[in-house]
Parts: sequence; C-alpha cells; structure tokens
Amino acid sequence: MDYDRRGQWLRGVLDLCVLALLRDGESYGYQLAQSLDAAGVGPIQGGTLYPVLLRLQRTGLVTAQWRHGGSGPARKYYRLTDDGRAALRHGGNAWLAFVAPVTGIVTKGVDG
Amino acid sequence: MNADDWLRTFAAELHHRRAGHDAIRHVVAEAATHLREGGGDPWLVFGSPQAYAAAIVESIGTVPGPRPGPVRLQAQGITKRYGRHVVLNDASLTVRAGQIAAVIGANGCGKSTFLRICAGLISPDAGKVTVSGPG
Repeated sequence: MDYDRRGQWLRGVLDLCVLALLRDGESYGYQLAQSLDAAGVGPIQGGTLYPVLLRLQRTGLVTAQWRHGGSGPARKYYRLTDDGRAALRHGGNAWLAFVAPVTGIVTKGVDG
Repeated sequence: MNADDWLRTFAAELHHRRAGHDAIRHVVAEAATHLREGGGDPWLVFGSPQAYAAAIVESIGTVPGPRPGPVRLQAQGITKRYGRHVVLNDASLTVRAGQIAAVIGANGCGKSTFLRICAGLISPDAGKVTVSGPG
C-alpha cells in the first residue's frame, strides 16, 4: 500500500521534480533517475520517467538533443526552456502552497 | 526474452500504434541507452513492451494515417430479392483507394450476394454499383 501511495504522489509531481532538476543544467534520463533516487524520492523506473520527459518535450517545456557526452554512449540530453522555467515557477509554487497545509494537518494527526 | 528482443518487440508495438518513424527511432534508442547504462531487466525497468508502447504513444501522440484516396467502389441502395425473400434491402458501401473493407454478418445474410453484385456477377433489383480504377 505504501508503495502504491508513493506511486500516486509521484505521478502528480514527477514532472515538477524533473523540471526542477533541469533548472541548473541539462541532463539525461538515466542521470535524472539517479538524481531523484539520490535525493531520497526512491527508485524511478524508466517506464515511469520517459513518458514524463516526452510529454514535457512535446509541450515545449524542455528541448532534447542527442549527443555524445564525453566518454560513454550517445545520450538524449534534456534542457529547460523559458516556458519550462515559467511552468516550474508556477507549478512549484502551487505544489508548495498545497503541501504546506497537508503537512500541517498530517503532522498534527501523527503527533497527537 | 532478452533486452534486444524486448526492444524489438517494443519498436514493433510503437509501429503498430502508429507512432511516427523518427519518434520510434529516438524512443527505442533512448530505452536502449538507459538499459545499457543501468542494466536491469527491461520488464522491470519499463514493464511489458505493449504497456510501455501504449504509455509512450499517449505521451507523444500518433501520426495521422494515410489520407483516403479517390472513391474506387460505390454501391448505393442495393436491393436484391429471390422470389419473396429480400436478401438485400437498400445496402450501400463506399470504398476509397487504400482502404480495406470487411463485409461481416451472419450466415445467409447476403454478404456473398452483395459482393457478387459489387463485382458485377449478378444484377441488383435496385441500386447502382460504380467501380472506378486507375487503369
């Protein structure tokens, strides 16, 4: 059940997390998955991540380019666009405004 | 099914779901890169090729199918009786170039009669069949 719950939360905010991770520079799918895991969000499977990246690309919030990154294989690098930056600001603030009262309510419930 | 088989099946599923050719190339290459970097069983990383292809197509959309060409077969108001038995009553069908049409129905409902009329092998009691071809 906890695993399902986490999946549902992720579906709501994974796009925002990806936009936020891309804020300071381009990245590729596998690296984004590792960054999310390292940040404590938990493992993100490719089957969850790439559809989100493709949707962000289709809606113009990120652009993508295939490139050889130094050593290693050719990778598809994603980069935030100006629209993506605006969507991150807008969606990020909406998320923070939502999660603060939820945290307040749940904290009271858990502590009480 | 190893990773290459999975990727091949995934590509075929994307084709089947009318994803664009370039999009398919990119998405399959990206999945292959991901598997190469992270390892892991594609069934666990991406799920079944069918389900993943469906999710991808939902994200990227599909390309429109070929536009139907000019009308090749037009059967209008076809009626056929054998004695008092009405086999076909005002049946119509239009087929354009590039289209595939199937005539389906229960035994004895008049499919063969309808097709014979379309082919000009027998005459309808009412209605008209026009067949036009490029040559």
